[in-house]
Amino acid sequence: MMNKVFEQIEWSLLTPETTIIAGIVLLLLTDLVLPASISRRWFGFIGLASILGSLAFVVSQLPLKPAEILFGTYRLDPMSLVFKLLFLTATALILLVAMDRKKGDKTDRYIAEEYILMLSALLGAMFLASSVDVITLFIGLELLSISSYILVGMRKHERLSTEAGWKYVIYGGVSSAFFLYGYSFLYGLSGTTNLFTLGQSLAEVVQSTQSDLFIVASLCLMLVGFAFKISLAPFHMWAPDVYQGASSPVASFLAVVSKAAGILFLIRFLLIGMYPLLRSEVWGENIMWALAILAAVSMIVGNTVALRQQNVKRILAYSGIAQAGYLFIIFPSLQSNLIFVSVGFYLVVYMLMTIGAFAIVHVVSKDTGNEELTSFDGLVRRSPGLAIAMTLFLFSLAGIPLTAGFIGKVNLSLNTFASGQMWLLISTLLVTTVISYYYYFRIVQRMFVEKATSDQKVPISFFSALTILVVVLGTIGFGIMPDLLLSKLETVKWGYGLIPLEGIQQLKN
Amino acid sequence: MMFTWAWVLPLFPLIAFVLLIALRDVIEKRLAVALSLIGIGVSFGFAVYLAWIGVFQQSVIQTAKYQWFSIGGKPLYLDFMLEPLNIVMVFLVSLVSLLVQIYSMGYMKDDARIITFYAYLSLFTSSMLGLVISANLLQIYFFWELVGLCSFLLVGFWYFKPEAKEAAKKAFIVTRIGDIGLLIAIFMIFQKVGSFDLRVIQDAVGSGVLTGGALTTVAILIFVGAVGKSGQFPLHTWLPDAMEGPTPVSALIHAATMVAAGVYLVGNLFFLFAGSEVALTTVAYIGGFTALFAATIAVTQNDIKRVLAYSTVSQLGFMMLGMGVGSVYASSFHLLTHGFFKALLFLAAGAVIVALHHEQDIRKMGGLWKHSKWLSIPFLIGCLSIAGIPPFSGFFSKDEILYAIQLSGKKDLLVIALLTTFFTAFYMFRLFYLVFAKKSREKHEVHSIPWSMKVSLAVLAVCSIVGGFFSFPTTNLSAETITHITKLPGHAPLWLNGSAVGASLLGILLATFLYVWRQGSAEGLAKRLSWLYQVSYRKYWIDELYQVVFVSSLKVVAWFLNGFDRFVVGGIVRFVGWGTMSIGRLGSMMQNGQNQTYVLVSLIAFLILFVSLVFGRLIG
Amino acid sequence: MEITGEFIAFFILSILAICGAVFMIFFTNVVHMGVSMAFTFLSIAGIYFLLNADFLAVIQIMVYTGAISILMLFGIMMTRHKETEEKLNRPIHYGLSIAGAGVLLVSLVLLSRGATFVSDAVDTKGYGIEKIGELFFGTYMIPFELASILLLVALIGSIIIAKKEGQE
Repeated sequence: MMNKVFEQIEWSLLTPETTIIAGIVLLLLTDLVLPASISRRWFGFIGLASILGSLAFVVSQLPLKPAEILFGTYRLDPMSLVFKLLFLTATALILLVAMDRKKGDKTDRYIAEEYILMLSALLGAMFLASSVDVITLFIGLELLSISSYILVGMRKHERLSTEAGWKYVIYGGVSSAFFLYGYSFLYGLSGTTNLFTLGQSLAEVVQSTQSDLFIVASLCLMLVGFAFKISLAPFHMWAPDVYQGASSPVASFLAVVSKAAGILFLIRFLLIGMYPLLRSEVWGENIMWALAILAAVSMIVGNTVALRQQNVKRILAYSGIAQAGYLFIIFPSLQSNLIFVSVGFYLVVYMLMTIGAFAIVHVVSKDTGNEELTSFDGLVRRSPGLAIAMTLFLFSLAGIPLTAGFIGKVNLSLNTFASGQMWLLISTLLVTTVISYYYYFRIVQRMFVEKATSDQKVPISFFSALTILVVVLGTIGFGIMPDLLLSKLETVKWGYGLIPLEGIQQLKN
Repeated sequence: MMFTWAWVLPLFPLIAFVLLIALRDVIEKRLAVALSLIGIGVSFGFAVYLAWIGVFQQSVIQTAKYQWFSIGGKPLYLDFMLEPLNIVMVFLVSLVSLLVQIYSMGYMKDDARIITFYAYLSLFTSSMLGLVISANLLQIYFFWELVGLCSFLLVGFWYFKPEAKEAAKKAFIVTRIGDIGLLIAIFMIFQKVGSFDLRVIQDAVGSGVLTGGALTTVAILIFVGAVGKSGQFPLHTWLPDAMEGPTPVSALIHAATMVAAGVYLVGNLFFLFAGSEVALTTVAYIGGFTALFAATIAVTQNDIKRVLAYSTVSQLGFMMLGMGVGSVYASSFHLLTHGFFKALLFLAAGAVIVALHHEQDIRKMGGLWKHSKWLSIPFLIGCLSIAGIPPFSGFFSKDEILYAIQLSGKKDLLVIALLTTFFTAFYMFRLFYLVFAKKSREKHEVHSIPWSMKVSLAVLAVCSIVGGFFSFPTTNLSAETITHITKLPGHAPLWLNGSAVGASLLGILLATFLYVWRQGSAEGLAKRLSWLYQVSYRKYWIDELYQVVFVSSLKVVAWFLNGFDRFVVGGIVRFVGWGTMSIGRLGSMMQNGQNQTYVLVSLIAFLILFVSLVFGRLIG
Repeated sequence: MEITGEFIAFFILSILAICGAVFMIFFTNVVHMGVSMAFTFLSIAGIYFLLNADFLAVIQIMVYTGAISILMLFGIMMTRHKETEEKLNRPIHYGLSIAGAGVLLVSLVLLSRGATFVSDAVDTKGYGIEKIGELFFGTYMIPFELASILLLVALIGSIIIAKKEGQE
């Protein structure tokens, strides 16, 4: 029986992932074969090539119709493709920044491993994106997490890095435990790992027992796992320490890819596996509010605590927590279909500005040796281009018009507005946005007002400059002409990511 | 007629801004200034052309719209409107900006960062021009924020002064509070109407989609936005502080751009207010209160720019009052003339400050009349105009507002308006006499002022004189317009004219009495009045009485209000700041670096979630 | 509830597992900690036996109780470590944690007592190694392969972390 199943599988669907695996293997082997005396700095190109190859495969898959392999343990649908595009683009940009290294960098010993781990983390995210089976989802998530733990802790010559890696492992382990514990209840109720089947049998359970307490309980438990990945307050506390300890490219990877993966996981889990819950009263009465409060707490905590930080990476970490809160305002009103467009748009925008900001932090801190606010003193007189780009990213994070961040935020709040009575949430968003101006401007002020510590230009490699240029263009371009992206996102058939294949075929007929 | 080029209006200053920022290290100063002037000059040319067509030829100007992006399948257009109000605003903004830029050639010529300054000015003008031609709420908000951002940059231009830094921050944050109101209003409108397009919204109001309580809420929230921008009570605190910026910036902010935006917004969205009596009354009373409140504070200020700043707050309140009693016509007219004479006053004040080596305390000034007619005559024209003395422009527009109030039948507001007129005349002439009339207490060597400043002053002076003779353009009733501007029926009764001018003259007289006649040395006074010693004695006694009745009581009120301003309003601001910081402190206290704490926090958070979602239902 | 031999066995095994875990946290001697952890693993294997998951139980004993615990003990013996560990005194932490765990326990017990399960007890007799193999190389092949990459990454990571600085 099994053999027949194997024959029917279209293994070609897996090409994007296999390309990444090939990249990993190639890196491993080259590192092994190459004599120690030869520089490994060009290894980034192998990684980049495999990412670009994978990107090409994903693009070629765009016109394909939704398909599954092995009962949904691998799934190709519009939603997974869009998220894979996001992950791949983000990682490619981050890799370019990571290739901008100082001469004689102490981490050069592990340069091959660094790229391998980035690729494997990406691989985890990609598998996570293309699955509706909890086991693949979870292993993908763990692959992403474990690779990130090591990426964070691998700068062993720095105490902060080791500390951060250690904290990340423990916190991540606890969160995974919560997630699994929560899921074990659901498995007990349904006996399945496939999300669609899970949804159906949960609906039956609710029908026959007239109780959804177990589902709510497991949602609470799993929410800890999700909130950890998305860095929602109050499950955010690892983020500032970890971002600070990690190198800037890794921090931006955590902020962008990891967070987006967590959000995708949550979307799929809630909308497919737990859809009986969405229809029940308890959603509107309780859970919606709980999610709303999580979003509000994130915005408040992220934006207020950021006021007191002196380290730019920590500021960006708190800003990321707040951004997660902004993104999360959409979840209480999940029923609306519009949310995918605004979530997708915001994720892209968030990717651009976050990678940009961290890239500049990377470049600057490489020169000054730390990421304190003082590193940015008088940057405008040293490298005006960098200072202006950074200002742009910060403005975008703050959501000031003409930047993509503004459109993203407006889009998010409008959709929340159109679908629910989330007044409180919108007000929190606006008020905390005002608060956030304060700390974003503090960095801008540092760059433009304070005296520079040196008059040398900040050295920047071609690759970092390229990344920064790309994200600057994106941040301005989508700020002025958001339709470039929005119109594309609107044509994506997001719904296909949420219904089983048979359902899609029925729709087509 | 069709005018598809509306979008170029803000474009030229924007190009100038981009060029200046990009080339500021390589370009020569003169060239940079010239570039900036060309940018604004071209826009001004367009403005004149538009004014010619739209105002003098009275033709309705159609504009084109372009799809910008779509939200949830609803297309959103870049949409412009060139109705009379917009054209007048375009004209005012570009004219004042042009003059301010010319003026700055002299005022800022020694500043090392003059190119940056011009770049900011260009951006400021560009965003304001964009604001006044937008016909789409989101687009309006877009430019609205940009205007705020530019004012932040310009007020804080001399960032090495700590006060400037603080003032810039305050301006930015306080106006942002108002912006929250505006943004919520925009969202509410979108929720109800499903569009940002002003024309669609107007239809929705007309067809009853947006009525009643919702309309009132929306209108009041929009007014909150205007309160922040236009420095109305209680969000006015940033405006006087914003004086820390260079004086040309103050002129620009106070006359044509930042603060005008709020009044313009209320005028442009008047169709929202017109449907709600509550909203109109709120606007009228907040405006009236601000007008009087700020005028009384202005009486006791000693910094020349702060007096003018409070005067702006007061005049803006006056305009809001006019809006509140339902006359867009009168208020817009006053906005226009105020733009002229306030720019004139500020630029003249800037010249005074330059001439006196950056002295801003009016108690240390005096006797400038003889030194420079180039300063004193424009300043006098400005004072007469703001005081509402015929035939200066301020008289006409102020008269229209008073007449509008009288027509609305709100007697209390009329009294407030007349009182404001009196105080306005009083403090302006107090300022005038202290600066120009009396003998200088400290010897100053007076600088000469460069030609560029003279040109700007002269043009504005002419505008301030003749501005009132042109009647404000009204909308063509047969055309579909968003803002209906119609003249008030008939003419103001003579008693109203009389009492307005009377109040002004009384104010001037009191100022003259207190600051000129009493000013002469004791001997001179005695000599002049020796033939009637008793009378002079009694006069002195009356003088004292005046001192007690008018000035002291006034001062008490003013000090009280000033204290209220500083402690109550400021206290609330500080409290909010303190609250924010405390949450931040609490948050970072928990962030103690120990993973045990982190996990514990998330465990407790989880339990709260769990217990509230599950446990409660288990028991209940 | 009926008291059967299975119930008693489950009761004893779970008590052992819990105690092992608790002792592991509260012991200060590393060797003791290792041993108590082995106890937990062993009792869990016992529970697997009770559930007819023989293969899993054997694997549990071999991998966790055998390999991992022993490896840890070796590691402890071969490395230097402070005999006297400082006792951390954090009453608030302890209090809050215990209270939190208590609340969680109470609500979970209440939750499971109040719930009604629909599905009948599954006959687990046939669930042997064959079934597991089929699932691994059939339905769950993709996650299974993915897990191999996960292990590879973990291997690379542990090498990086464990390698001494400055050593080529």
